[in-house]
Amino acid sequence: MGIFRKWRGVPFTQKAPTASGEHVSIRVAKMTAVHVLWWDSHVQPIVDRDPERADNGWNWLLYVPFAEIAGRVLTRKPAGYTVGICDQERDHLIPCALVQLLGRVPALDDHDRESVFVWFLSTAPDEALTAIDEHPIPVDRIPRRLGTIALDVAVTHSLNERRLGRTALYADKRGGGALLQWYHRRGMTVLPNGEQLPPGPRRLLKPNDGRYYYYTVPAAIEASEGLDSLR
Amino acid sequence: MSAFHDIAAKYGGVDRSDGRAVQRWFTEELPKLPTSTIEAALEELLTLDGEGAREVEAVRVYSERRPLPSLASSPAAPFPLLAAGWRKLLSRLYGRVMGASSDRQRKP
Repeated sequence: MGIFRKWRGVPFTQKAPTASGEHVSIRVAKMTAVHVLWWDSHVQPIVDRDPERADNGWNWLLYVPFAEIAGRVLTRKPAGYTVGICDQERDHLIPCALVQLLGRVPALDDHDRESVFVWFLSTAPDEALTAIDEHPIPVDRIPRRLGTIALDVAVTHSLNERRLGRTALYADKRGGGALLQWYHRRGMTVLPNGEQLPPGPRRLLKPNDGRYYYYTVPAAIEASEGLDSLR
Repeated sequence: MSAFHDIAAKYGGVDRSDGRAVQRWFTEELPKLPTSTIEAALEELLTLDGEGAREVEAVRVYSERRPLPSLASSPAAPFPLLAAGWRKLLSRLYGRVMGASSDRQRKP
C-alpha cells in the first residue's frame, strides 16, 4: 500500500483515542491567528510553568507573521497546522497541538531530495484542556497520542506535497535524552554525529550534534500506516 | 526563545527586551524592508531555529483571554482528492452530479 500512499497522498487524522475508551473527534486545520492568540492566552502560560518542557518560552505569535513573510520571500514553503478537538454542538475548535513546518528543505539523508522540516511542534498539557472556562474537558475525554498525531501532520504534509514522507527535525536540547528516545520510538533515524548537514547556513551555524532526526521513506510510510485507524 | 528578539534587534534596531516591539516589528516593519534584507533576516532566523545567543530577560506578556476558535472559521486542511480513497471520491462526485441535477430540476 506504500506506493499508493506516496503518490495519492493521505488524509489527516480525524479522531484521537481517550482514556474513556471512546474516540474524540479532532480536526487538522490550517493554523490561523485566532488559534495562535487563543493558544498564547490560554495554553502557553501553562506550558511555561514547566521549565523541563522543550516548548517552554515559545512565542507562537511571532511564528505566524514569520510564516507569512517567509512564504512570500523564501522558497521554503512554510506551513502551519492546528490540531483541534471538534465540538459540533457549540461550534468550537479547541486547539490541542500546533505544528509549524518548512515544506521544502534538502533531505538529511539524501541532499538531492526534498524533505519537510518540523520547525516547531507543541502539544497542550492536560491541565490546559481541563481548565478551559467556557469548555472544560473531562480528564477521560482528553485526546491521547497528541504528540504522535502532531508528528503525523508533518508526515502527511510531506506525503501530500510529493516529499514521499521525508520529514526531519531537530530535537530541542531541553528535551534531553527522553525526547531523543521518543523520536526513536516513532521510527525516526538519527543523523549520526559527525555526518554533515546539507549545504547551507545551518551546516555552519547549527551543525549536526547528534540531535537531528529524520524519517526515511519506508519508515514514514510505516508510521503513517500506523495511524490509519484514526483517519 | 530569543532568536526572534536577536533578529529584530539586529535588523530593526528594536529593543530586544521589549517583546511587544519585537512582535510589532515582525508584523509591520519587516514586510516593508527590501527583499534582500528580509531574505537575510529570515535565513538567519531559520538557522538559529528559535535559539538565540542570549536569553531574553524581559517578562513574558501573554495575549489577553480570547474566546475559543469556531469550527466554521477553521475548515479542515485540504488534502489531495485521491487521498480520500475511491469510494469517497465516487460518492463525492456522485453527490455533486446529483446536486447539480436536482438544482436543474428545481429551476422553473
